[in-house]
Amino acid sequence: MSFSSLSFLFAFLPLTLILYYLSPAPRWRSGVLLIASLLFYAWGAPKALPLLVGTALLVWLCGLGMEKGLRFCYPLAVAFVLGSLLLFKYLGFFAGIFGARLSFTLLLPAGISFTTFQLLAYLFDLRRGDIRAERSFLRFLLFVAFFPQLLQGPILRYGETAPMLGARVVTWDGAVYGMRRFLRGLAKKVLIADQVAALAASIYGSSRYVGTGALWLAALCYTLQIYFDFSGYSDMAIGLGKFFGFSLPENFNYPYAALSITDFWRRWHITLSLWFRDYVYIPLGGNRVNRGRFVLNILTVWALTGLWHGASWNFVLWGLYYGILLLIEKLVIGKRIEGVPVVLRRLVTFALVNVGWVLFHITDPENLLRTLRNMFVLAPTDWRALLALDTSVCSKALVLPFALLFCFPASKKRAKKEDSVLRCLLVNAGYAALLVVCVLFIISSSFTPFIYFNF
Amino acid sequence: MKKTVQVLTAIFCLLFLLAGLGRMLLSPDTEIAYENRPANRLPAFSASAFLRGEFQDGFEDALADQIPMAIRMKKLYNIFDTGAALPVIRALGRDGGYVGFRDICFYHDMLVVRSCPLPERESAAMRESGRLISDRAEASPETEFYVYYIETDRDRNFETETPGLLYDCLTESLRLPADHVSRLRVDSFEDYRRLFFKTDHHWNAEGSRQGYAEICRLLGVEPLPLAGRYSVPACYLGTRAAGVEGVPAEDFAVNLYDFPDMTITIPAGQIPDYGMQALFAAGELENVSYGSVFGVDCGELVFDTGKPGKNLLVMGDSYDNAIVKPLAASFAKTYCVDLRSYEGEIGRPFDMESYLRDKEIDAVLFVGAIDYFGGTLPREGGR
Repeated sequence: MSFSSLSFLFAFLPLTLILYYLSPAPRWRSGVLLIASLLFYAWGAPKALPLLVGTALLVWLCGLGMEKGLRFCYPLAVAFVLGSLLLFKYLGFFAGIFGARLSFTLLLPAGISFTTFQLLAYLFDLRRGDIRAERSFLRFLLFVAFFPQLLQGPILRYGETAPMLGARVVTWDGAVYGMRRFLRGLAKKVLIADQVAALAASIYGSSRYVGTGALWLAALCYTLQIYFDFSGYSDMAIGLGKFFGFSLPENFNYPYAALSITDFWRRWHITLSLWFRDYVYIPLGGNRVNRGRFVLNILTVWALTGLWHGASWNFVLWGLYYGILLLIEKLVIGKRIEGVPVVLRRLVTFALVNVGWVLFHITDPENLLRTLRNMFVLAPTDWRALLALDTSVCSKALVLPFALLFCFPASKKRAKKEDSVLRCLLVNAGYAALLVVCVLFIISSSFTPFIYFNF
Repeated sequence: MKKTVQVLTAIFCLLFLLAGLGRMLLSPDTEIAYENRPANRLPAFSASAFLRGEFQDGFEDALADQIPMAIRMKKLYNIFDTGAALPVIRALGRDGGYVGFRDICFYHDMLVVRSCPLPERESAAMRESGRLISDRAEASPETEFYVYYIETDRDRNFETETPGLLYDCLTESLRLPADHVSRLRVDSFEDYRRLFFKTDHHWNAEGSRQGYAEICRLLGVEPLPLAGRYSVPACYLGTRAAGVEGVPAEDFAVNLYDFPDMTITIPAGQIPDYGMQALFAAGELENVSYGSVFGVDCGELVFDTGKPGKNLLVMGDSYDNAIVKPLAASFAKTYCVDLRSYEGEIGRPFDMESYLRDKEIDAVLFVGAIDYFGGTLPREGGR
């Protein structure tokens, strides 16, 4: 179930909120959240629910076993969790490397990459002695399956989440903040991401007329789409968390305002970057190794980061692209970057990120090569023919300037206190209107007249 | 005060979000007139439907139709969407080519579909239809089989003047006498503009009259003489204009005939008339649509003139709605079967062999356009 689906907005969310707030005791509230989370998952991926619950059960039992000194528990749990990920997500990919083709298709459980990393972090932290094993399976299951973060993160750490799994305090201000954050996220997704997505799809789908200008425009649209889509989701997750008394970690911090690639990865998908830093990069030795090993560490981490995003070579390429850029920044450019004007640094970083998203987006190698060539070798675009294919993109194009504006912190007005009645009314009416406008866009995407039936 | 406003906002949001669910469960709308379709209904829950995700999809669709002010929202969105595109459509349209908007195209003053040349899949489906009809004809040698194909904007690219050759695909595999097969020819955009509505995919009064006359020639019967044509100016927006705000309404005309007395039956029982052509001609029909004037689609429709003669079976879709009544005047009984809804309304799949036998059919006419011969017939008729 997607946060922007009608089933979620008009049924799941209000019913869950009502049941949650009507529940008399913290234990009941956690029960409501757990049942809602399992229903949320089952709604979109009913066949994968047993795997989710089963994996959580095994990791929970192994966690308890690890505390009791049972040595087989740790490798067993890590092997099972990683094995599930490899089996469901990467088997076909790795089989392809060895020239084999699977004669069957495996279901890809929704959110498996996120839950796997969450569970692995739990096991790693437990082994290091940073946390104590969770005693209650239901609480542990809630940590794994908590619906706001289940499908697309942020990736939670047990140590930070554990205090909120039991009794939580929901303040009125927290709930109001949650509602507003959720609505802002919904607007990012529905009013911006989905609109620029249509533009990108329209250009990428009309290769006959597309040249350099159009391809850069498509890359820009996709760059905006992926940011507003993903950060919108994170905003919604954080907002939903607040509704239920959870403080989920921030995942984005205006990444397109970054001054370098290193800076970009401090601002983009922060919980994933931190995960790789803490559980892969540092254990490999980080930067406290010789230069050769350092290069290898960086490339390994970024190849894995790429692979985490999808079982396809273009994702590996995308990861290595960032690995190489980071190596250039750290080993070649170094501190000299600070002498470059901020605007230029920002522009170059943004352009490099745009190119990165092209690698990320286009999975077919031939198409990818053609697209990259046409982006850098001047080729004319037949704008008239391109536009004549579908002029409904015009309304989507109106969103572009706003999308660009909202990417940068300058758009973030300092929150003014709602100290006057008028301001208070305006702010609240604005958020209510935002909800209605978002619903208007969601509903309108379901406009499906049956042209050939029942006149 | 601040808290009161926040509480009121929260209550508004919550009630707004709950309203759709409440309406879907308690008093759902049954029709979505703006989209010309019945409202999606809440599906029955079953574990298998849930596991396949069908219940969830049905739930989402049903909810979409019951959200408060959903139609107004869609209309508002369409006004915004079309409003942003119209200046561009006008500017690009000056050059005379196709200008796309969602799934349709503006071409001069008409809303058309640019799908020519069609993909191989549809050409193959046309050939499959030809084979299917031939097999049926050979299985019932005592019945005459006829085919009338309606060419539309999907059979020709007007911009490049390229024909789609779909009729050739159909006839390639048809094993019927040459004089049992014919078509409504669309050889140019001018032909298309003369024979079809500007905002709808159906043929207009001129097109259906020409089609009716050519079908009568094919079947060897005399067409009813045209008693006149009644036209209402600027009253009609066809389904291609659905969701495209700002398109001007067009004229709607019906051919007037002196119909003989006949009883008309649909699966639900006998009806006084099929369609409301008489009401339209009297200037009393408020909501003009192809279906309201010529009759809505139904799985089985039977005209009985009560006079001796041959029985005809018309296999087709909504195109034939405009011609079945005059056609029925030349036969004892005329049966019309629409495979899209036959099984749903009658309760069993259509079995042509037994149908021909039971109804004592003398002639079978397959009539339709690409959607029928390239879609409905090979999909539904081969079962």
